Amino acid sequence: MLEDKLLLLKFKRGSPDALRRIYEKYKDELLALAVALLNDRATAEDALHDVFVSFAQSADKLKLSGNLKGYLITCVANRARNSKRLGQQRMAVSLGETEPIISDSGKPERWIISSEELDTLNNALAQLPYPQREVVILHVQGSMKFKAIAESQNVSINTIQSR
Amino acid sequence: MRPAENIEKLIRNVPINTSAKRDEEVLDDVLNALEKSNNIQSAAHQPNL
Repeated sequence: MLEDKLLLLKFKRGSPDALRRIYEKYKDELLALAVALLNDRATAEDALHDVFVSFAQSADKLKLSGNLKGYLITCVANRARNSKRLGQQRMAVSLGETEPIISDSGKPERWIISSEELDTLNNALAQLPYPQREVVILHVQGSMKFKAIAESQNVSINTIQSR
Repeated sequence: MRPAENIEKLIRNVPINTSAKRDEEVLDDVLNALEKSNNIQSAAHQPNL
């Protein structure tokens, strides 16, 4: 926590080393979160990239009241939600107006490939409506409190808990 | 351990790591973005003579 405050201070003063350290420290956790939310590794990697580029661009303007990790988790969740929305719009257009897209990469990459048990869990999570999946992932994997999730989504805590 | 706790443990321990090549690409873009932001900021603070 103290390290994060120091890193943040240096980052706001434009330190590349601080930014590099922040990336190194949280990249794996944030990628796992993005993959869990998006169910696709390539899209998740793009989301992580975009989050950190925006973060770097906002160095001098950043007004961070909570903790750094929570802030980055919220950024990833917002980015994933936008990605999902854009993907659905693109899919609606392509299904209605163009030939079906045939992927040359076989099945889309999944976030869990190491065991049957995890695969089952992944499939079950993928079947949840996106808002519910987001709450489960942010709460369990991102260790976010329901109150923080509610604030990040601009909905009441009761709505979040009912999901 | 209860089933819910098992599931939580599974979700928390998802084995995902970024690749070194991807890290390099991301850090390149991220550090460039920071440099641009720093340049804009320092230009804005130039004194008017």
